[in-house]
Amino acid sequence: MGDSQPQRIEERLLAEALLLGGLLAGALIQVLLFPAPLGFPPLFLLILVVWRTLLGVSMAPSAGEGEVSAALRWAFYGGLALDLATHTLLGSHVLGLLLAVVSTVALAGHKRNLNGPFFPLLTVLFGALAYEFVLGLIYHCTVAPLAWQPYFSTLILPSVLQTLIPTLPLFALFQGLAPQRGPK
Amino acid sequence: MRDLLDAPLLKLRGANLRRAANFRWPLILALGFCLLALLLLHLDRRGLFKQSREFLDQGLITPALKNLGGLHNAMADLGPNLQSNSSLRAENERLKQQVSQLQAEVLLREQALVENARLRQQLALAAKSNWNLLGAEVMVRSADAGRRGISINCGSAEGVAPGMAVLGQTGSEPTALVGIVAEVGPHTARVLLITDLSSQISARVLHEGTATLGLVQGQWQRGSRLRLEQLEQEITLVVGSAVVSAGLTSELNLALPLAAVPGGIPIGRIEKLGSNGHTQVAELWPYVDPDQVRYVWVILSLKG
Repeated sequence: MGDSQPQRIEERLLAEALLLGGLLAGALIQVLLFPAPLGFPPLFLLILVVWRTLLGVSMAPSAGEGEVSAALRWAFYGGLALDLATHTLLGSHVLGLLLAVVSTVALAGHKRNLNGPFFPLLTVLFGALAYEFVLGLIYHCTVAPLAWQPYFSTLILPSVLQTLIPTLPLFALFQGLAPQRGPK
Repeated sequence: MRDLLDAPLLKLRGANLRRAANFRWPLILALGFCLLALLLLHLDRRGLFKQSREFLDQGLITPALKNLGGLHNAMADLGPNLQSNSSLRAENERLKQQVSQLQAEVLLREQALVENARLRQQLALAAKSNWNLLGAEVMVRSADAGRRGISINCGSAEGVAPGMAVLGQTGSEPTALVGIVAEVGPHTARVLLITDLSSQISARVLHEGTATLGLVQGQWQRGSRLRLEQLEQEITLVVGSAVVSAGLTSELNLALPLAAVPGGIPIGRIEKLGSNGHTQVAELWPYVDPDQVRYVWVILSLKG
């Protein structure tokens, strides 16, 4: 989704609409089907967006910019989908996911050894921290002031740890479902 | 797993990355998206997207949620039967069809039992209380840790309005307040849970024939659940005292229209007492964990 290079504008629009629809389905899965043992679900869409970003930055240099832009579009649409599905202010989840993409790209640019299972965990860890921090900040500014220390220890930390658990299985699942492409 | 993760798509080669590290356009795009998100946030706060969001909600989100909700229940109910199904594959086709039919009947019966139990609860509650109730199913919970809200499958078409109290029950605890209706669509409603930091409800502490007035505020984002504030310093309170709604919220100048919350709804019990200098404060343990409820009841009106 969102990876082809359609020639015509209507094909491009259709591809974007399909991407938005797919991410809306992902958002509904997160809020409805994912188990929420701690009272909130693991950040399924965040894991998806981080995976898409890593897929983008791992492409050949010539395709790197376009692929990272595609990941940013995934973050934008995914955030809108979450906002629509959960009746939160439009833009709040968008900002969280965008910051997660930026943190992933920054991390990938500074890490020398990017192979193995630990790098996806590391990127999801930083992405989830950025995401939860942005959502907390928006809540702090628009709804009610937060006490950050308990907010971090009782909400952000459990949420991030809970999100790390399904990260590797989901990465494997996404990778299995993704169309196989080699470096361009 | 390891093999999958080491596959070429995720082998991020440092050298390639450094050559391709000129992410100028993506950076500009990211900034553009961030500005757009901030603009959306600002406009949505001012209510500019209210109608279009309602249209999307009723036309797309709610039907999808209802379908997925059915799938969710079906998956949860089918789980225990999968193993027996697989062993029956070895049997002949006639037996398999028979088993399948029986399983479908069992599923329907289980669903009917759950529905029956819920309606019995509602009947019992309606008989012993002074409220006209409407049962509803929880469709959506918060998408992340920082928000405390749920969506239910009843809306203005069923008589639900903003400010109405929403009750729930778990285990052997009494039926208690779980939230207040914050927004209403034709067939869905958004409920702000009492544990959210922005939730404030006037309440009374019941102790030895007295009913001390206070204000219950959600504390989820501050690391606990509920806190009772503005209690007079002179009043003697004890741990374990019951706290119920006071029904005075219409007199408080709050953002939410809370006039429809009647008095006497159980909220929780005092777990810990303290003081903030001028007034007493208490940590509350809610009777119902709002995160655990699957069915809720909306108080539509008072009887008579």
